[in-house]
Amino acid sequence: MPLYTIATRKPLPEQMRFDIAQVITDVHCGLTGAPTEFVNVIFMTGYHMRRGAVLGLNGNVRMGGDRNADLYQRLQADMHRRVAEAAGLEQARVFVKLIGVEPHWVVEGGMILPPPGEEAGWLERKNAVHAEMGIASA
Amino acid sequence: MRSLIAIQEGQITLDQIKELEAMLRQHYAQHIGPHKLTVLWNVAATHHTITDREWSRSSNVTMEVPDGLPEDQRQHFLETLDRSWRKVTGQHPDQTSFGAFDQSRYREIFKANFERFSAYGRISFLTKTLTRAMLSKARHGVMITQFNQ
Repeated sequence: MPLYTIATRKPLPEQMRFDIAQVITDVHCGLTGAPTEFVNVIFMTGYHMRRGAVLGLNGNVRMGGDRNADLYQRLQADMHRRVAEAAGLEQARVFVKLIGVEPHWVVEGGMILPPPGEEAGWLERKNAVHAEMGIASA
Repeated sequence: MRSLIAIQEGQITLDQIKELEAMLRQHYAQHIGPHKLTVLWNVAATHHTITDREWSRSSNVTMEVPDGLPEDQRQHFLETLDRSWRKVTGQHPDQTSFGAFDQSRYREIFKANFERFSAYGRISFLTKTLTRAMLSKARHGVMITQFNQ
């Protein structure tokens, strides 16, 4: 988490998929401070978009913690602009929607996810737990 | 109740999928309740998923649970499921994600993820998914479909 899914009618080239995922990771982590290892991006093809759109981006992102409405607005606006650029599309052809998700209902790395803003302590605890279990870094 | 599972192409064998689904149903019945659970596997094509800036080897499992499920019960269920899953697949803990969402929230999130599609797109998506899932169920005993249609 976050889980970003990108839907298009036709497949995007592999390099463009990779580049868009880097942009999404840059924007998300740059604005929220979340670690890059949290960010997942899935590309889906064969979908008919709503009128005017060529690419539909949904972001299921953790809510609460140190995030407020202003941050979500900036995240939505920056994501919209940067993903449109990376895909070579006008912003009007890109649909972006962020969906808030409760972090304490999700387990990743074997542990319940932290509220936004408490990632550093969570990562330390997770690495310590993995070390105790003899699990190396992924 | 529904469970949607995203995996990577070529990562988990059909036998493992069957074993994982049986395990998921068993844990769900034991920790959550005797609800009918519909499990849909969604396979991402090679090089269509990225985690932590690299092509992904991750699996993502989401489930509906009854509204208001106590947090300690939910947490114990998710952690138990995570451990059991990794025993079957051998994945690193950083390569798995498990979510148990109140049914009402799950519906909201599911619906919000459909807003980008046209009306035809929604119908087409559901028809394709259902058709593929039913064919897979008849052939393999589990419902498997693909992100890339």
